[in-house]
Amino acid sequence: MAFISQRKICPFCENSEMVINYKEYKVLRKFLTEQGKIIPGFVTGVCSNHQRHLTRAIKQSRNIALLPFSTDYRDI
Amino acid sequence: MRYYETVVIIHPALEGGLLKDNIVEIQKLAEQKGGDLKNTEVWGRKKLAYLIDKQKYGTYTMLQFTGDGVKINEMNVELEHNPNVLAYMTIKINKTEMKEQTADLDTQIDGQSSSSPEADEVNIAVATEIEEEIPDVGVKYIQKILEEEDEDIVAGNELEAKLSDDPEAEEDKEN
Repeated sequence: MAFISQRKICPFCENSEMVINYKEYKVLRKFLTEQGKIIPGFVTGVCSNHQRHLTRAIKQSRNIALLPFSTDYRDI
Repeated sequence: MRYYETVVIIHPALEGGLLKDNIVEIQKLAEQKGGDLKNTEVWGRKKLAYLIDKQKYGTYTMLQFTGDGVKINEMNVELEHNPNVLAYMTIKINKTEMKEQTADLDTQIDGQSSSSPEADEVNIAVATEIEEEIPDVGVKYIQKILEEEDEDIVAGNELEAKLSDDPEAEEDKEN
């Protein structure tokens, strides 16, 4: 069916080398908007299991200032 | 017995010997309040994503150790009252995530001064990416405005042409 073929594949299921960890903030940054918000899984195609791990890792790295809580691009 | 990992951001003003003293102090704390200290990694000076205590930069250090949950809270209280620690985070990890120490503390502290420009470069690269994106939007926006203006000018010219065709308009001009 066309509906299923259009569905995006989860990047973490597809590639086992991509690890979700709060230290790898360069990977996590791809799943944030410019403002610093977490992009929902249905937009990026991340499966629900990995999305849960991802949100936890992002929140951990925000805690130690590796990722921003929010950014206003007008200030840059 | 559980496995824990603590990331500590130390004040950027501390360098060399003072930095080492602080890290050793935190290591002792981890041994007292935790258990066996397995690994210490100095990530070096990094740019913070947001200001902490009015500081832009901080020296990141990571400790891995075994311990008991109740004593970890006491360790966090000690870190909270340490004026040289900007921020800290203790989390529980799996045994598989534990690493063995590869380099001495001295070599790591010496090495981080040379590796720090790289860390800065990464942040600068991210900043430039954002900077590049904004002008693109700006250029597109300006192009749109210019196109709209062009359309207006064209429309205005047509109107003028129409007006000039009208005899009455010519008369007005002559008058």
